[in-house]
Amino acid sequence: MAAEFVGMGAARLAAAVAEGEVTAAALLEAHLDRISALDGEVRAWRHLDLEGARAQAAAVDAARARGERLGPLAGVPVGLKDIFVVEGMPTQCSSRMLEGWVPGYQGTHAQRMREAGAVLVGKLAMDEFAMGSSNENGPDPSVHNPWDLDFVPGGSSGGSAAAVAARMVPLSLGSDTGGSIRQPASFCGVAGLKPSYGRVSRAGMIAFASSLDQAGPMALEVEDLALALELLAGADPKDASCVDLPVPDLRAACRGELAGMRVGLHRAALGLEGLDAGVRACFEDAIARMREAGAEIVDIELPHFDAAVACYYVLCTAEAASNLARYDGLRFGHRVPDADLEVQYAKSRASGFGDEVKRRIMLGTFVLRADSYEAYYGRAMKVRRKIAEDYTAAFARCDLIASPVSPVAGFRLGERVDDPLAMYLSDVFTVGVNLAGLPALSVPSGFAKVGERELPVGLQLIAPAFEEARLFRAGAAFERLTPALRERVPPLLAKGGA
Amino acid sequence: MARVVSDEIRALARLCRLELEEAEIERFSADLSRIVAHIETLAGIEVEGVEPFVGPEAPAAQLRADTPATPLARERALAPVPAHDEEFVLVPRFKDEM
Amino acid sequence: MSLHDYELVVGLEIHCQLATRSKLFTDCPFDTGGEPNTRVDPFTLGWPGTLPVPNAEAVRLATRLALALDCELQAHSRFARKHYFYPDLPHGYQITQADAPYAKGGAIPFAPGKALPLERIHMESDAGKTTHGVREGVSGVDYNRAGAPLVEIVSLPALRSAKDAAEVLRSLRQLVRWLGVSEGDMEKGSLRCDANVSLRPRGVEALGTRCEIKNLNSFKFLEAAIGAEARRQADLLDRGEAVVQSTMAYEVDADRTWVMRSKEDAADYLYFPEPDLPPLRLEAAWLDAQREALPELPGPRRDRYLAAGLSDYDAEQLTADRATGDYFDAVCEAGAGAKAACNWIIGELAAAMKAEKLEMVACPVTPAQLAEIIALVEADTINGRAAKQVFEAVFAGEGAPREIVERKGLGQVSDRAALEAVVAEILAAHPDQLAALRGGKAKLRGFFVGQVMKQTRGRANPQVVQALLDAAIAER
Repeated sequence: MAAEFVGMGAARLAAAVAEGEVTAAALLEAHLDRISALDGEVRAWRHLDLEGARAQAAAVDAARARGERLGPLAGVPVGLKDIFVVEGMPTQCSSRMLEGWVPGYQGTHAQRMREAGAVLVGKLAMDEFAMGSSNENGPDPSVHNPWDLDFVPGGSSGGSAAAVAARMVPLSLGSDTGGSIRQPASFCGVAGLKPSYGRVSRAGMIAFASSLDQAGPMALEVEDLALALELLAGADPKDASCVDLPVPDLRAACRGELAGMRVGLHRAALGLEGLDAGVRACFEDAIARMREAGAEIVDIELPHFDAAVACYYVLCTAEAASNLARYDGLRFGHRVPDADLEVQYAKSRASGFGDEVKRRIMLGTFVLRADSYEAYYGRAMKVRRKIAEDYTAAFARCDLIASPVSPVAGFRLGERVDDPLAMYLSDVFTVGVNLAGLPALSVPSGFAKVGERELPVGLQLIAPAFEEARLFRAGAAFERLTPALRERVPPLLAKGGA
Repeated sequence: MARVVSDEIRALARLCRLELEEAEIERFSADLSRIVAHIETLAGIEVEGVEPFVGPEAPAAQLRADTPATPLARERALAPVPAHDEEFVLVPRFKDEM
Repeated sequence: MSLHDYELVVGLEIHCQLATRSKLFTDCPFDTGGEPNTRVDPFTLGWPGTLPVPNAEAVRLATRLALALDCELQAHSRFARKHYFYPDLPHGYQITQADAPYAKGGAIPFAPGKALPLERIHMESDAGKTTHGVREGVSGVDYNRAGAPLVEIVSLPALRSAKDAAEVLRSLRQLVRWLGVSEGDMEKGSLRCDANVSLRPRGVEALGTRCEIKNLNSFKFLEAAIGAEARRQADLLDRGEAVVQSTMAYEVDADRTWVMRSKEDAADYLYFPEPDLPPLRLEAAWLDAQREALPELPGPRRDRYLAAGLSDYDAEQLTADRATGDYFDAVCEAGAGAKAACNWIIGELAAAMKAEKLEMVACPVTPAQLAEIIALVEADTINGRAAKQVFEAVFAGEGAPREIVERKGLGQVSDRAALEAVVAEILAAHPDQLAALRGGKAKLRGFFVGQVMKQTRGRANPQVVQALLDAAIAER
């Protein structure tokens, strides 16, 4: 029975297909069964490409039958956040603005996944244009956290996190502009990687904030993230900001030990108002485990830590306002026809974009206006350098920095929709990483109570730029310290489809 | 403390081509006022002489060889266009002054 | 006051399309003349998920131009986004260079001893084109040109006449073609010009309020539009009214300018550094190599020709384009004298090329062949008339000059004895004319020379014939 494979990691499944333990077709059907059993409640998927996925799975099986060498993800079902362009597959960024848009070109991520043999199952829900931390922004029904359906899965890659958490796919791709991979990974109890800026191409990933956006994988196991990053990373002739650096053997790095690593701890941040006691306890427990495993815990300073959220929201909204200027209803997407071009623009954009997107376009326009540029945008770019320099200085003392991912373990659907500023402030632990262009990993570290409920909590590990190998060494070692976390599954699975 | 007044919101909305209803203008005015007040905390950071940080920089700017590829077939280029004829993307007539 | 009481101040902003094969930020081709929307790709159309990647050749050509104009090339420059909503602008912003252009300073030489100083040159991408009224109330947008590579050359307000402005543009056109940087075709729009015009009372230092006239697409219109705008501003000032900073259009038929929009409704372009593109770095060694690769420029070449004894006119003709001068240099290199080479090139050769509608690079007569023809004349092997026949034959591909001389028997007859007989025969045959000539009708000399040439099928050495005629007339 293929069902027994559901819940295994991507590397394990690829091996099973390669060894003939299971066919790609059967593996796909088993995961599709899981999706149809649970997605009515979780709502992680925006689009399922059953026909395409079945054809890809059949192609993998046929290739194997012919004795061909299979790719490292051959036959593994993979889901893509709806921000990724897949030729011929509806790609909407969860926005009405892109309703009906079927890309006429192939994105780099989809292409590299396909070349590795992955079976692209479909598109995963997200906050509209990746703007949000809860998956509540946009025209679509909200995604529910598989660990507790009353709670949000986090965002903006909430669908990608929820689908992996519910074992609908072992691997998904998300995007992270200010924490959009790490925070939902933490909320949903899965592992997620935000690579160094420039490590993975942005070509074929719909832009939110160009100098901050990075694509990254989400999975049940750290080693699967390493496998996915090896496939995704590397120069792309379609992205000038993607660097041509060799990608180290990241799976080998996963076999390393915590012993001998210096882990930096920014203690001041633990005094943050709004840091949930359960999350803090979980983090302190993780630090203790790492110390026991032989890591050296060193204190570091990040003097401009408190400025990161303000700095981030100036820069990301400005870039977003600019990147979203192309949605004018003329060449693609949503349009409200009018005889007057200016009216057509304003009506099309007002009805195509949701509230949060509009709010950010307005804010971004505000900070870029000629008369406020220096006071806001110009200043934020300078603060950004100070923040980046803080990290550089800190890494002189340590190999990695550890911190919580989010101040909270989660919140209920609808709980924060009316308070955008509070929502922004909860990005405090994640945005600095994007501002400085660093790689960071969110790995499950425990559970915390939220009222009567109990939700997963992630641990964030941050490395210097292009030192992802350190994250895999520490992250996989930490994972081995907490085997029970891998065993525990969302109650939904025990009850229903599993 | 910053107060982004309704008139300013209207001007911004015009600049970024968003037709807003009165209720939205009120709401955005309140939201942006609070957010801008938070952003203004950046004014307390000493940035004299600091070089702006535009983005994490690639070690070398990647340039591309001047080798033309095959352009899109016109039907494909026009396929997602909401209003088009056989040749053009169609738009309502407008004042041409660029 | 009248126009004469004001001093005209003009600055130019010139857009020049670079002669690359693909667009500035994508590998989409952009050759002109294609059907609408057939030179487009996902990036050109602003499709979500696409990103700009700069074209190395565009950077090279832009650098070449800036080096030739003696600009300070910037080791480190940056692209920026300039935002405005406009149907032919697919991204909602233009990628340009704002506060960090790749070249600063420099000047466009436009007449001996005269040059227009520049503020800067920057790279930017072009917009598409709109056709109004494709049907009632509807315009059609063609994105073929969108994303084509441009440099914008921004001058200081340093010109004092409309005529000079046109001269600057002519010189620039010559230079961009010379360098192979651009087609420099104003009709096709690969060279476009805006002019900033202001007036100030003579003797006053402070600049007056300027107005910018957009889209002047010929030398004639540039000159006329500046004149028209100067008249408009003078009228305003005379009436005691202020000139309002505005963007102007020039109406050719009425020969007047009108306000398209004033400064008050100027847009806020929300400029900020382009986050999709790392800074552009020009390595010193690479810049040195580009400088090395520059050809001799029109100015220095003209000076060299003058020093070689050519007239202003000749030097001007030979430097009209680079290939003509290169050809001239090669003919001289092959041994011909400068004056003779020049006369042939701007005379026979230019006429033949024009008749055949050929470009200099496709010239069927090699420089060595032309030098050989010149040498044959100088050695008295052939006379001028035969030389033209030889030239025509070489041009037509009939072979090498010396070969043609022999095959066609065009060798000059300088043998006095042989020619004496011919002269005597002709004089005997025309006694009346001879008498008239001796009587002082000097024009008839030509008649006799002609008859001798006819008799010898053009081969007689004219000098020898002249001498023999002189002797014959004198003797009686």
